[in-house]
Amino acid sequence: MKEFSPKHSKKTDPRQAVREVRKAARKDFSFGEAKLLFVGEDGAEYHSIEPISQIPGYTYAF
Amino acid sequence: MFNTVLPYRLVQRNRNPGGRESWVYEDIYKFFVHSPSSRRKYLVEVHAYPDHLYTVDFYAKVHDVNRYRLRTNQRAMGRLGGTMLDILAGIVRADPQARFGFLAAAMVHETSDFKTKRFKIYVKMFELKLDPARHRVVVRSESSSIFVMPVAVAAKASLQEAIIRRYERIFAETF
Repeated sequence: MKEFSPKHSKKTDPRQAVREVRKAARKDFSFGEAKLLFVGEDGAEYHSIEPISQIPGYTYAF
Repeated sequence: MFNTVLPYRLVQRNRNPGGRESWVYEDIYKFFVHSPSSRRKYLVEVHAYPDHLYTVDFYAKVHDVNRYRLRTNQRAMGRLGGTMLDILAGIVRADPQARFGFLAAAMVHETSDFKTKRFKIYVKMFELKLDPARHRVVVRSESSSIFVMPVAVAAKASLQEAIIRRYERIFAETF
């Protein structure tokens, strides 16, 4: 009979604990440079996003 | 990232004689994404509406109702995004007044439409790859929707809001 493998349990896996720490440290998503454009009728906010400067040698798609 | 364009082609153009939805025609493009272990077909559906409005959807060809929400785990977002941008660039070449609306579908495990994972990557893609001298990008985080329009159109605030409202009606009719 197959024995319980702590390696396959996320709760006891030390690597999972490391992952959780890493996930908590990761900062929340934010726009690069966004400006609030207007607030809709339902209170939703519309942002206008501004470009991130291009890496030299790369081009805009259109 | 988003600089690789995979070979793609226009498969067919569908008309909308019944008029059940408000689009005028639908272009279907196809391309393949290869990874060391798999080869997947992707389909891109471009719907054209009156007044230069377009919506663009793409998905891997799978028999699943959640095809817009699945992950394929091919690690191919850079190539997918580059290919999508090239298809959009082709539309802009043919119709310089084109405006686009995108709805970033939630992943299967995501329970709300607020800032979905796809929305985040699409926003980064547009921040990097769209020429600010020519196009303006407006985003709505609550529904993870993105609108792209020419600068001249976006300069008129009332016109911009009217376009966004029309897109929201289109999304309500489709999804």
